[in-house]
Amino acid sequence: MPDSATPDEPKRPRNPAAAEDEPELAELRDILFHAERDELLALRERVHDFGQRARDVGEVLPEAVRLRGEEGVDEQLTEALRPTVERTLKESVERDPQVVAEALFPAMGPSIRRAITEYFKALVQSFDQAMQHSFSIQGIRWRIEAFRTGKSFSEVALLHSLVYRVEQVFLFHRQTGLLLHRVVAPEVAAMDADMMAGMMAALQDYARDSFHAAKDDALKEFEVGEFNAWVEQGPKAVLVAVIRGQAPQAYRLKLREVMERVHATFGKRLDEFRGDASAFAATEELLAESFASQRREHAMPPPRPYFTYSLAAMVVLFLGWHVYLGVLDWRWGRFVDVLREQPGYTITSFHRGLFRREYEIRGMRDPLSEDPFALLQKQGLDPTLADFQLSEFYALDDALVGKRATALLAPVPEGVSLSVEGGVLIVRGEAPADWIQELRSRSFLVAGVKRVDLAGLLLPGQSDFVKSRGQLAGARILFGAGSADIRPDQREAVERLAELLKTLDRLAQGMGEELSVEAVGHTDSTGVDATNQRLGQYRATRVAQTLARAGLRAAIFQVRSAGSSEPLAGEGSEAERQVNRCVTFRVVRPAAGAQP
Amino acid sequence: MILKKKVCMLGSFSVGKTSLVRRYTEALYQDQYLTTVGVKVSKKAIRVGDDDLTMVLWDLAGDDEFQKLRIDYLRGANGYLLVADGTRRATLDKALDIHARVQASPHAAPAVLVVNKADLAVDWEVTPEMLEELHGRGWEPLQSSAKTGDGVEEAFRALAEMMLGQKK
Repeated sequence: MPDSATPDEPKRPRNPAAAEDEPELAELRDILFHAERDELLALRERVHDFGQRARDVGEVLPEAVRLRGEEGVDEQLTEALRPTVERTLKESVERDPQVVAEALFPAMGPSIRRAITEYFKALVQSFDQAMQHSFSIQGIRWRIEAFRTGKSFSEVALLHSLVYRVEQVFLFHRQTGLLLHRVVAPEVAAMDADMMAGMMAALQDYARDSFHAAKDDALKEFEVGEFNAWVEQGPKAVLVAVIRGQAPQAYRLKLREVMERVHATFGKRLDEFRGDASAFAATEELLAESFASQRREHAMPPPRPYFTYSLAAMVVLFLGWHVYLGVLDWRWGRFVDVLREQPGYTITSFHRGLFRREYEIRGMRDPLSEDPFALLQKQGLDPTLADFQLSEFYALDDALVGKRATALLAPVPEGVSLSVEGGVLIVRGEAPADWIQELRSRSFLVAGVKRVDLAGLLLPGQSDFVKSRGQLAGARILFGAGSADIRPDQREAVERLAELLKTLDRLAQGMGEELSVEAVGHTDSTGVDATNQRLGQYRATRVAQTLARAGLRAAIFQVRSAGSSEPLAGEGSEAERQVNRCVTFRVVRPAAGAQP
Repeated sequence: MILKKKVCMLGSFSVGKTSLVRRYTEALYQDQYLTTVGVKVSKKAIRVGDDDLTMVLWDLAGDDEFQKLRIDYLRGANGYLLVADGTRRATLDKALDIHARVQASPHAAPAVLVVNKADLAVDWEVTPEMLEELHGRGWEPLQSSAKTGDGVEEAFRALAEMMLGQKK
């Protein structure tokens, strides 16, 4: 009760009525509580004194904040302080930014540099890997995976190609920092392990000391360039793996496992360690085991030799192309040889374009020679590849001169053949007189014609005439001995003769000639010559008269007697003599073989 | 038997700890103390009696107003070399002070006191009387010169024998 009464005490005097009512009581109270009363008054004064109160709070504030903080994460305190701190910072920056800038400067420079470095490192790495995997089958597989899982491609690529290699594993004594054992991967330049272990231990101490860390906390990992050192600290020993590249987190478990086994197996020896490290040579197997498993995981596919592939492909393509061109060149070369032998062609040069497949063929060509494109097709070559640069000329090959003559003398009448031998134009067959006239005047205009041979040229009907003339030469009208009368058995021969002569007359007129036929009377050798001479004359005349009566013009006949002077057969028998008793005929004009 | 021992070099700034180590070993690292860490580790293999001993030397940065000695670095040390500079008396006091601190810590270990810079004996502030007085207190102070090499080998060997003797 006094506890509750005491705080009320100072309030009492403010109640004057009560004080007056009970002065004795007040006096008693004064006697009883005089000391406390002074104390209370002093306390009241202290509470009401603002300056004093501020000093009091100031004294306990840091301790109070520390105590709250020690109780764990204190959201309330943080929340309460935040607006003030924020406002203070804001105002400070507004008033003079230099102060905050200077305070932050040492921290900001390195962080910005670090952020930029990290960014570029990541960028280069992601680019590198993307390049490496973009065009491989694996790359495509990873792209599908990235699409499926919603991760970025570089993330997937990175996950799959964590390349690392554990190069060294140190085991050192935790207490002394002395090296117990060390294993080094093959082909790795070993550092001095004793000093290395010492420095590692010093670093551990330094880190722990600098960060005021608990005794069992340890620097777990540090990174220098491409090297990472992973530290696994046990109660008695420390295991440090020096790794080139980025090891997966799973490797941490492996280290821990090795550490545990080291403790399990060598715990006693670790306790008793007095500097004799030879006892720990036996950890070799344990430490090396972690190597072996790591090296197996170290499964970066060797870079695919795309460059070699493409180079080989290019070489093959290049060689193939050259073989192809070689074959093509050979075929075109053969074609050009054919062309050279072709009448009307003169080839001066032939080559393939340097940067194109076309073949340029230069030279001269007679317009009447065979078409070069037709020749190309005969050889089975692609005409689009040909580039003929041929100027025209007149070739003197007989065949071409012949063609040229044929062209110039066109139209050549039917039945006429033109040919050229050694520059001589040979014309054969029947042709109208006016064409022959034309031939005479124009044949020397044909380039290459040196001379014209018209021996074989006939007028129209001339060949028939010659044939009929031959028939006429063999015709005989026979007579009896000493007689000039036409025997009945010769009438038919006379009629045939008349027809033949009519034909000859007509043909001669067609040739523009006047027919003239000589009828020659013959006798045998019996009798006197004078008589025979007369008899021959009679016989020829009689036949001419008979033919004239048969419709022939009398003007065509000339009559002559040969008597017995031109016998057609011997005189040894009657049969032979009968042959000599006759009339024969000879065409006097047109002359045999006469040139038109 | 091949043994390894951790040996610390203790003493004030510029008394010649690093020079002693360099004179004694084939140094691997640069002369600067590894920045901020305050320790440089070297090693030396010697033969003591029948034992091959590898001393891993922790050359600790000097204890002065700029850099505090990290006493934790002594953890597990099998011995240490206290180095003083004969030309500066204060460094001898400092060495004894460090010794007292180490012996009071959990890292107490055998120690050898070396007064360095014997080549500058003319300028010494440390007098023979002082050394004599230390003898009286159980010390066997050695003198060395990292510059000429005198007494260096002997100092380390003395510590090595002390460590091995303690082991036995």
